[in-house]
Amino acid sequence: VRGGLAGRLTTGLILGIGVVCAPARGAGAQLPAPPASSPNRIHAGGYAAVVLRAPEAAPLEHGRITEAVIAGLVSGSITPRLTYFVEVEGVSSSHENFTGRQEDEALALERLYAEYTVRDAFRLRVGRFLTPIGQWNELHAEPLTWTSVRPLATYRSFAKSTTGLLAAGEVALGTHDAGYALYAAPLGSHAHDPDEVEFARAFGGRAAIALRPGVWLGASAASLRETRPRMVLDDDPQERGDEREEDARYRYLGGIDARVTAFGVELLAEATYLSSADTVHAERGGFVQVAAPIVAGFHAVGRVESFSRVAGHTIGGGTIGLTWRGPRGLTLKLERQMVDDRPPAVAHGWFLSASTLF
Amino acid sequence: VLVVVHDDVRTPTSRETVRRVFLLRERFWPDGRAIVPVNQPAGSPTREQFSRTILGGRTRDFAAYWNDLYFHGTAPPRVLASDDAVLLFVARTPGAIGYVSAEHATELPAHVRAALTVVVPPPR
Repeated sequence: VRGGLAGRLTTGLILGIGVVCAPARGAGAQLPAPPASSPNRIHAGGYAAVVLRAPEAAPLEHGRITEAVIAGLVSGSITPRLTYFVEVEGVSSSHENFTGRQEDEALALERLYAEYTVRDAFRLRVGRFLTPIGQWNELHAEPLTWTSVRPLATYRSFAKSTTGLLAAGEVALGTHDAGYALYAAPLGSHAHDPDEVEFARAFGGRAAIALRPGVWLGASAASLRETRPRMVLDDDPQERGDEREEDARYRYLGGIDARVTAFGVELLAEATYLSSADTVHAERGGFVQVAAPIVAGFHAVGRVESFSRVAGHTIGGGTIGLTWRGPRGLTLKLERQMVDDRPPAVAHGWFLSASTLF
Repeated sequence: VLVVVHDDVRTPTSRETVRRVFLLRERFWPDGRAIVPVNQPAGSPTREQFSRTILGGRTRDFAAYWNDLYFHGTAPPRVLASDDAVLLFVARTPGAIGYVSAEHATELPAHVRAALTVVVPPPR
């Protein structure tokens, strides 16, 4: 649902539900929870964020962007083994440049699924869920990430959400924690974002293992039949629809990721490769990000990334930022996103955001 | 620290199992019964000893972990305010597991069984 009165009303409704139903959320570990043996309990909460973007000595057409996001999360259990989860996200954005001011509102069903746990090592989920590729995509909420801007490799080459069937589980390999997820999406992606991959059907999976406490390694793979060609990254968003690239075909995706946490420092790295039959349109990208504590909840954040959408055309970039994480999932971020050549479709400039879980 | 379970839990309980249970990576006992873990308040000496010894870090080190799980609709284990509250809860709740100060080892109430004694190394 995009724009207009309906969007406002629905966003307001979500906000209302969030405020009325949100439990008092303690600092993570203090949040009370009902016993797992008590079915029919409903949890309601969510997160909210405001992001401001200012161009850095950029052409006026890049403009200022203000974006407000509110997401409602509702989960519950019908029996201890049968649970459900819903996430609805509303976004209101304002884009101001030399042509004037443009406002947009959108409402998206990010997740809607039921899950049955056969045992800890085998859960079955049906519905719409976050695509299990890499680490960022499944934890993309503004209060959980170190930067407001997503690296290109975390969303350009696959659909952020998938509708279908997923089998997942957590296992212990000796003293190593491990997990897996396998999914099939026979009915297509139903992508909200025009820049996302849209496919008729897809199959894929991810496996991850903790080599030692705080050291996770993961690998992802997927096969998909892409149905909708996308913009190339250096197209101007104002001209979308006219210059889409014809590249609909079977494609295969592979990815690896790693997260290392020690002494409060977190290193996160991901890399993806999306094949293309003509090799020219194969996509490859990745990033390495480090967040290190400074003092009183403040963290210094640095990231380098690279993404190649078309052979011979690689976009490189970097991010430096300062992020404060406080109680109750409250997060403040100031970051500068630097990108080669500053293509309009790739976020760059200064970003300031405030977000919280509720 | 003494790890206690409801007396219907017959499974041998290792440190590794307790760690995985309190990180919600194991949610069902091998007999299929749901596990009901219960924590002590963040900042309490027993909680901090348990967290450092079993989970491998301070309670506050896990804030991001719980926030990540919250985003997926999973809340942390419920928190009860004292050893007595934990013992009462475990006694009344099939499948429950909690932890208390080791001084309770000789005076456990009915339906509560000691599953594991964790020796806490002295702080450096």
